[in-house]
Amino acid sequence: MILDIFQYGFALRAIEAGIIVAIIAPLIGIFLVLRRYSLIADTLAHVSLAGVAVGALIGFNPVITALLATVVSSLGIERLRTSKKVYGESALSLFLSGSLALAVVLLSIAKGLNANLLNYLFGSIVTVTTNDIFIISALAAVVIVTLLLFYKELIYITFDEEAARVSGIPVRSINAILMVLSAFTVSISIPIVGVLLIAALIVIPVVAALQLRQSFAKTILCAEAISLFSVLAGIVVSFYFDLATGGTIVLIMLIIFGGVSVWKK
Amino acid sequence: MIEVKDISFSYGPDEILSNISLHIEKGDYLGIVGPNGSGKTTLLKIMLGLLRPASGLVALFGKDVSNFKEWPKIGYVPQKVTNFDANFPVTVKEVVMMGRYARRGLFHETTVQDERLVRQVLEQVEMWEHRDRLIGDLSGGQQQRVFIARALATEPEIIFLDEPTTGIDQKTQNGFYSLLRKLNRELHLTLVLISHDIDMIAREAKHVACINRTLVCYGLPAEFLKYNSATDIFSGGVKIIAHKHDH
Repeated sequence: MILDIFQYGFALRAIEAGIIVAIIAPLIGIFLVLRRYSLIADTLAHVSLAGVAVGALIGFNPVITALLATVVSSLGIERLRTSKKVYGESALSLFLSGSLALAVVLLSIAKGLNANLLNYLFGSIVTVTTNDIFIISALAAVVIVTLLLFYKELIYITFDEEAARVSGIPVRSINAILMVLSAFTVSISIPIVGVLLIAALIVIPVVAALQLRQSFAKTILCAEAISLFSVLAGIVVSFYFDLATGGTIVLIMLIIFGGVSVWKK
Repeated sequence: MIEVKDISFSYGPDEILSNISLHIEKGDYLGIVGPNGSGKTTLLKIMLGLLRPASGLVALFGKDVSNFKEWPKIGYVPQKVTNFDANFPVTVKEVVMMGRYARRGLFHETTVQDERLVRQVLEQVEMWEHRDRLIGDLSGGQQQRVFIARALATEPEIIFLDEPTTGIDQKTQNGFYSLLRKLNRELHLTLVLISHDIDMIAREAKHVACINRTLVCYGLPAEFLKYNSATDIFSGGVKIIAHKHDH
């Protein structure tokens, strides 16, 4: 029975996509969470829905259109935030509700596609295509390589932005890079957990790992372990019990978070 | 080494600083004092290029601050104890290693030499044994030593410290000032220290600049004490005096 899951091509692709996203999400998440940017993940997720709607309307791969929408918006949010014309969280609200409105309108134009809407909202890991896997892997590689290149600067800025600036680190550019990487991560997570649950994937494993109070490097490793376990367990459990995969993954993450919190009390 | 000329700065219509000039030589130990709201921290941020003055200029090592590129020559110890995320998952060693990042530059990994230097500076501030503890688990005085170590790790020629002893008990403060004295006298590091602790500054620093939106007194500690007892600007609060001391 255990081996059954591996006999289905869609399940294998689901596991591949799941592993990739499980690795990427906490890597971005640790920087977003520690900088109090958790809501950016949620905002970009809603923006990605507008991107998906555009893709559905023009008949283009929705992961790609979602990627374009999130990248452009992430830079817009960062710009609006640093200009200080609006408060940081207001900038997020503007983008979150604005893009959701756009998505709803676009999807109402493309009436026939409404059936797919649930897939995008809550994830539909079983419909991941080989082509999707290719796109997801390529984007994930970009995220990992870029993070490795700017890892030390990102830590410094996250811990102490002012001192980082005094030490000559180009803080603005690196903030913008982090935003773009967040957009990448959100876009590739859509098929796994859906637009509404992406933020959970990025935030919960990190928040759980933070309860363990370890060094920065160890915190990342713990978040990775929690993320990978939750995603794989979520796929397997939802497969055998015929549950919604995205929701199952997020619930497992929450259970781990609860367990860690109680244990560390 | 550092030249500050006729700096003025305003937040909207409020003039925070006007016509401030300072001259910091190599090996100097300058204490910048002033009552709350006198603009000390603003002045420091202007000197570090974090804020742009309305007028006047700042030159670091002979270069205008807006074109200055050799930031590793400058160490900075921010006012951390009060606005510090105690849950940040970072160890003492990881914090001090950040000081090496500027020296390494973009796209360069830290090396064994960096590790060695981190150990050396942590031993200097007597915090090596705490290297694997989380920064949030340390006492305020210990955290401050770690931030000094981070500044030292960039191998700077000058260190700026912003109210480093806020929230630290007297005994720890004494140890902290003797560490600064050692850095200044033995390693010949130039220090610029912001503080509201005028007695300590008068005792420790080589020069004192007293700021109250403008430069009210600038010279040797003895001159400052004489000036202070005559005008008593600290107990008076916002008494603004136009007199400028020629240095």
